[in-house]
Amino acid sequence: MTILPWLPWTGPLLLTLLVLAPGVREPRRLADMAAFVALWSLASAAVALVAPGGALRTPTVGVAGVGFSGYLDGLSATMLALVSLVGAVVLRFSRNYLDGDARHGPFLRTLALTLAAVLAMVVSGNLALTGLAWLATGVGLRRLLTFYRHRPAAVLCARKNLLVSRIADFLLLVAAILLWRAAGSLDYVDLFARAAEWRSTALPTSVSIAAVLVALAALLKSAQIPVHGWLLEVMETPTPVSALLHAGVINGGGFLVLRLSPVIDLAPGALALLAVVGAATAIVGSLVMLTQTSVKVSLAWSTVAQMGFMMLELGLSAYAAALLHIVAHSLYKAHAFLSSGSVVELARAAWSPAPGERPHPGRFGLALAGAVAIALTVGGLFRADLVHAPGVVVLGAVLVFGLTQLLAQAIDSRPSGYVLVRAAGLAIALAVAWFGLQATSERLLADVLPMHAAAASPLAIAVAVAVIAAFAALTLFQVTAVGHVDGPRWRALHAHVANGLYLNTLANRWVLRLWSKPPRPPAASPDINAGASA
Amino acid sequence: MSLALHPSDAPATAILPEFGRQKIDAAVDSACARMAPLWPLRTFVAVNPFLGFTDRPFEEACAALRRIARVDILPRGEKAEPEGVGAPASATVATVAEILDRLSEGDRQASRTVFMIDEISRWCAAYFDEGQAVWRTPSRRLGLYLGWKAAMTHDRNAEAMGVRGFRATVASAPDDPRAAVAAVVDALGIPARAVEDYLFRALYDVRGWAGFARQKAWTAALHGGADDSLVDLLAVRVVWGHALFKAQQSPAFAAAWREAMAAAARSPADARAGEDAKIAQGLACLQRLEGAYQERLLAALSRPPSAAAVTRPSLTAAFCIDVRSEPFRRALEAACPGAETLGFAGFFGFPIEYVPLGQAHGGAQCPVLLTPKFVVREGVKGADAKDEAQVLGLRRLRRRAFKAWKAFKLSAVSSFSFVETAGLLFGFKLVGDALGLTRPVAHPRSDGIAPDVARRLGPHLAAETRDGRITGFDARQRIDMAEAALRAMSLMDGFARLVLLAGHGSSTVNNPHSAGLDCGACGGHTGEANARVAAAILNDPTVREGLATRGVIVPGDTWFVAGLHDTTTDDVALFDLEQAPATHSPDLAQLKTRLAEAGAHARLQRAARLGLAPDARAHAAIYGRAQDWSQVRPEWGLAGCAGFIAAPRDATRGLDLGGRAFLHAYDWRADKSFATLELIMTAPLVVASWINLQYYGSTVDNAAFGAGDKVLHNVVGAIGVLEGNGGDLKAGLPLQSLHDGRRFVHEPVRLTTVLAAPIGAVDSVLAKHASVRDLVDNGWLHLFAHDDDGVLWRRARGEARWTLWR
Repeated sequence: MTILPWLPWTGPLLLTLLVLAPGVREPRRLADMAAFVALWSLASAAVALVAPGGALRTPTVGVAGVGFSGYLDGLSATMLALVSLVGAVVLRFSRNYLDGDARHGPFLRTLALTLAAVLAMVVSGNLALTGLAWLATGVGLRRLLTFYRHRPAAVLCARKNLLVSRIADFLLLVAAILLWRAAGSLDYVDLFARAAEWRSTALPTSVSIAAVLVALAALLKSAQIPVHGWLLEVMETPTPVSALLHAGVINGGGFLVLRLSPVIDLAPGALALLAVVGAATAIVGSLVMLTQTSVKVSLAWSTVAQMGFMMLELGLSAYAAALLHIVAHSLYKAHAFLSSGSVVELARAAWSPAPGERPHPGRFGLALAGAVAIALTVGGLFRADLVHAPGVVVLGAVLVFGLTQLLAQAIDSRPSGYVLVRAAGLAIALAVAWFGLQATSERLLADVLPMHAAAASPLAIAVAVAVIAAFAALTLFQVTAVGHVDGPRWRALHAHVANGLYLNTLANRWVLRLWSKPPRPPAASPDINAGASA
Repeated sequence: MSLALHPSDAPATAILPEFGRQKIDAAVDSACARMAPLWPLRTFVAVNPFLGFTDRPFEEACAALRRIARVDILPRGEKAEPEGVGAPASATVATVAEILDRLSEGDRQASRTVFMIDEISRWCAAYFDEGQAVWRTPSRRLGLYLGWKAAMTHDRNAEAMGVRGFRATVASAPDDPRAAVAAVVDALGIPARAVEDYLFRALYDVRGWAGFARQKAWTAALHGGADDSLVDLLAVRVVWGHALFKAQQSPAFAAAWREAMAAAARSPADARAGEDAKIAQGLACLQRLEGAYQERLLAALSRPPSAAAVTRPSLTAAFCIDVRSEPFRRALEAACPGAETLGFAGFFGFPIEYVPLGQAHGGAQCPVLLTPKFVVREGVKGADAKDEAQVLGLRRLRRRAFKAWKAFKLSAVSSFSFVETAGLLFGFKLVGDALGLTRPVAHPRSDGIAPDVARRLGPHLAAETRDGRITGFDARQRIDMAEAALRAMSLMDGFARLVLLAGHGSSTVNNPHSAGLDCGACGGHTGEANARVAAAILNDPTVREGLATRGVIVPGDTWFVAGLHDTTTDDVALFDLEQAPATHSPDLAQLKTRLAEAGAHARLQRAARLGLAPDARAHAAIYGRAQDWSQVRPEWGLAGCAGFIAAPRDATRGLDLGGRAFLHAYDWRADKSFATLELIMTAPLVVASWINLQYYGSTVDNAAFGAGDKVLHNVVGAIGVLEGNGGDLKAGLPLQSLHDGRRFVHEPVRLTTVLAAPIGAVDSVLAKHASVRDLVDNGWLHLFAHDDDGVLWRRARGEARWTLWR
C-alpha cells in the first residue's frame, strides 16, 4: 500500500481544515489560501492521472464497502480537476467581490466547505461516502442560497431547493440500501464487478429499482423540469455562488449517474427516464431562454437546458459525450456568470450595420444542406459510427442543426463572400472540434465508462426520433420566425414560454402556502446591507 | 372622451361627480412629473432623484415623501434608531398593495405585492429590452399599455399565483390609459384630496421603470418629439392594483380599505413639516453635517486673494470641474510649480454627437441638459478615403461574423453544439480573466479593429455630409466655438506655450456601472473626443486668425494638446502629439514627465481611501484594480462631493479641498454682460447639483434611491440592473460606491456653492431662471458669494437678501 491513492483526498480535507482552523481570520487572506488549496487539488488530479497502474484505489476504513475510502479513475480525475479549477477561480473572485461585506468571512467559509463537499463526492471510493458528501453539498448550498437571509426571494428559493434536495437524498438512500443488499458492498470496484456479472446474467429487480431511484435523484438535483424553479432564483445570492453552483454543484446528478453507469446502463427503465426528462428539459429550457430579459435568468435557463441535454446524453448511453458536456459547460457557464457584468460593454459595442429583414425561407434549406455535407464529410473522416447507436445519431443531428443555425446567420439578406467563407470555415472547424473531442473523450474513458453498441431498443429509437423532430422544429423556428412573427397565437405562445410554462409560479405559490411564515427581519448588525432591507 | 368604453365595467359609468376627468388628467400629469428620469447604463447620467420635488421647499419634500412613500430622505445621524422606530403611525395615503401588506403583517410575498412588482418589472423589461432577449414579445408593437393588455389576455401567470380573475379585470379596463386610470380611481373610491398622492405612490412602487419611461419622454422632448410610455406604465400599475383589489373579497380587507380611504381624505398638508419630530431631528443632523463642512471650506476661502502671477505660466492645464480633478490639479501644481490649472465642464464647450467608426449614430457627448449641436465622426488618422473604407468594411463584416457566432452561442439548439465545441476554451479564458491577463470582453472602442488601427482612431473635423448627416465644422463654426469655449473658461490671456485640455474617463472591467465613473459632462462617456476636437480647432491657424479679429489673442507659440485623465489610475494620456510642431517636442517631453510625477503623487494620496498603504506597492495595486473583473470599488468616483466653487484659481490655490469640490474657473471682471455667469449657474451648477443629490439620495436611503448591492446585480435588457432575481429597475448608485464596508465614504450634504461674483449679478441670473432659483430658494443647495476681499455672503432662502457669513 502506498500513500499515493490518498492524494486526491488531500484537497477536500485541507480545505475543511483551513476553514475550521482558528488561525486565518482576515477574509482576503482566507480566500487566497483556499484558492491555493483548490489549485493543490487540481495538481493532485494531474499527478494521480499520470501515475502508473490505472485507477487509484485506497483500502476502505470501514466495513462491507461502506466507510472512508478513495477511488480515482479517469472519470473522477476529470471531475476533480474541473471542480478544483472552477473552485479556485470562484474563491479568487470572491476575495475582492465581497470585500467589505460584514459577512465576507462566513461567506468564504461556507463557499470553501461546499467546494470541499463537492470534491469529496468526486473522490469517494464508495456510494455511502459519495452520498454523505452529496448531502453535505446540499447543506452547504442551502446556506449559500440564504446568505442574505433578509431577502424573502432568497428564502423562497432555498425552501424550494430544500424540498427537492431532501427528496433526492431520500431516494439515494433507498437506492444505496437496495444496491448494498444486492451486491453486498457499496465499494465502487465491487459494484462494478457485480455489474459485469449482472450484464452476462440478469439484473435483479431490486437493482433495476435502485437504478431508477438513482436516475430520479440525479434529475431532482440537476434542476430538471418541473423542479427547476429554485435554480432560476439563485441570483438572490452573490454572483460567485451562481458560478460555483452552475459550474460545479449542479453536476452532482450527472456525476452520480456516470459513476454508477456500469449499473445504470443495465436498466433500460432508468435510461428511458433520463432520456425523456432530459429531452423535455432541454427543449423547454432552451426555448424559454430565448425570451428572458435579464442576463442571469437567461443564463440560468440555459443551465437548465444544458443539464437536460446532458441527461439526454446519459439516457442515450453516450456517457463520454455527457462527461465532455459537463466539463465544457461548467467552464463556459462559470465564466458567463462571473463576467455577466460585462454585458453592458457588449451592448455598447453591439451596433448593427443595418437591421435584418425577414430572411428568405430558402436560406434554411441551403444552410441545412451545407451543415449536413460538412457533418457527413468530417464525420466520415473520423469514422463515426452513425448506424448503431441512437446516441450518436441524435447528437450528430444536434450538431447539424447547430451548424445550420450558424450558416443561416451568415446567409442573410446581404450575402457577403467574406462572412460566408468565414462562417463555412468556422462550421468546418467546429465539426472537426466536435468529432475530435468526442473521439478523444471516448478513447480516454474507454476503460472507465460502459462503451457498447447496444441494440437500439424501440423506446430509444422513439425517443431519438422525437428529439430530432423537436430540435429540427426549434431550429426552423429560430432561423425563420423569431422576431418576425406576430398574431394572437404567437403572442399566446410567447406569453406561455416567457413564463416558463408557469411551473415555477405554481411551485412558488405552493411553497408559500406550505410555509406562510415570513423570513426573519435583518439582524441589527452593522451589515452593509442593513440599509437595503427597508 | 367618455369613460363608458366598456359597459361591463360598471363603476366607469359614473362620471366621477366629485373629481372630474380633467382633474384626474392633471393629477396623472403631476404624478408623472414627480418621477426623476433614468438613463440606460451605457450612458449613465447622474440624476437628482428628487427632481420632481425641487419646485417645493426641501423640508416639504421630506414631509411629502415620508407621508406618501414612507421614506426618509434625511441623514439618521450617529445615534440611529432601530428600523421601524418613528415610522408614521398611520398611513395617510395607501394603495391597495399597501393595505394588503398590512393585512399580511408585512409578508409581501403572501400579499402578492412582490409578485405584482416583479410582473410589472418583467413586462417593462420585455417592452424596453435593448438586446437581451432573442425572442422579444410580439405584443410590444402595440405600445406599453395596449401591448400589456394584449399580452395579458394570454398570460396566466397572475392566476397561477392565485390572483383570481386577473385576465378578466385587465380585459375590462378601458383601452385609453388615462381613461383606465380614471376608471380605477373611481372604482377604488379614492377621495379627491388623495388622488394625486395615490397616483404618485403607485408609480413610486415602480420608480425605476417609471424613471426609464420618463427619460424616454425627456429625450423625445429634446428632439422635439413626445413619448407617453410613463402614462402607460401608470395605467398598467393601477390596473394591476385594481386586479388585486377585485381578487380580494375578505371583509377584513374591505373594512381596512374603507378606513384607509377615510384617513386619506384627512391627509395633512406637508407645509407643517416642522411639527414632525422625526423630520426636525433629521434636519438638525443634516445642518450639523453641512455646517461642519462649510466651516472648513468657507474659513479656508476667507482670505484676501494672493497676487496673480504676472509672468507667463510654464503650463496651462484645463481639467473637468469633476471633484476628482481637484487632487490631481494640486499634484500637478506641485510637480510643475509655474503651472496654471483651471476647471471647466469636461466637454470643453463642444456639445457633439460622436459617431464611432462604422456606426450611423453616436452618443451625445455633452451635459444631459443640452442637445448636441454638431456631429463628429470617428476616423482613422493618416488614412485616405480608400483605406478608411477598407477598415470600415472589415469592421462591419467582423461585426456580422460576431453576430452569427453570438446567435450560434445563444440559440435554442445550437447552444448545445456551442458548449460541446467551444466550451473547453473557456477554461483558458477563465484563468486569463481571473489573473487579469485578459479582458472578459473586448473594449467597445476597439472592438472589431486591429490594434494598430485602433491607435489611429480620432475625431474627423472636416465638414462633410456622410450618410445624409452633416458632420464636422465649417470655418465659421470653428471660430465661433473656439471663442465661446475660451470665454466660458475665462481663458483670455496668459496662455503658456502648452495648453493641456484634459478630459477624463475611468478604466474598469466587468462593471455594469462603469459609465457612471466616466465624465458626467460628456453624458457618461470619456472626455477624450471632446478634448481632441477642442484642441484641434484651437490649433487651427485660420481659427487663430479669426480669434484675433475678435480680440482674443492666442500667442503664435501656444499649442493646445488634448489629454485624458484616467480617474482610476491617475495616468494622463496625450493625443495627436505627432501634429505638434517640432519646436514643442521638449515641452511635450517635460509635460509627460510632470504628468507622471503628478499621477504618482495623486495615486499615493488616494491609496488610503482605497484601504491601501501609501507605499510603493500602492501603484501596482491601483493598476491591478483597474483590470480586476471582481473589483467592486475600482475608484471612489465622486463620493464626497459637497462643494461647488466658481472662482479664479487664486481663490483656492494651495488649499487641500479633499477631492470634494467642483472647481469652475471664473473671472467676473472678464465677464462683461455676465453671460458666462449665467451659463455657469444654469449648466455646470445644475449638473453638479444633480450629481450631489444623486449621491445624497443613494446614501440616505439606498433601498429607495440607490442601486443596491453590486454582488446581486443582474443586468436587465442591457438597460439597467435588478437587485437579484426580480423587483424594480434600480436607479442611482450601488452601495459599494458609497460605503467601504465599515462606514459611508460619502457624507450626505447638500451642495455648498460659492460664486466669486457680484451679488447683484447673481441675483439677476436667479431672477431670470426659475429652475435655478428653485434650487436656491427651496433649499436644495446653499449659495454663497465671494467678494474681491475674500469676504463671504450667504444668500437667504426665499428672498434676494444676503447676510455676511460669520
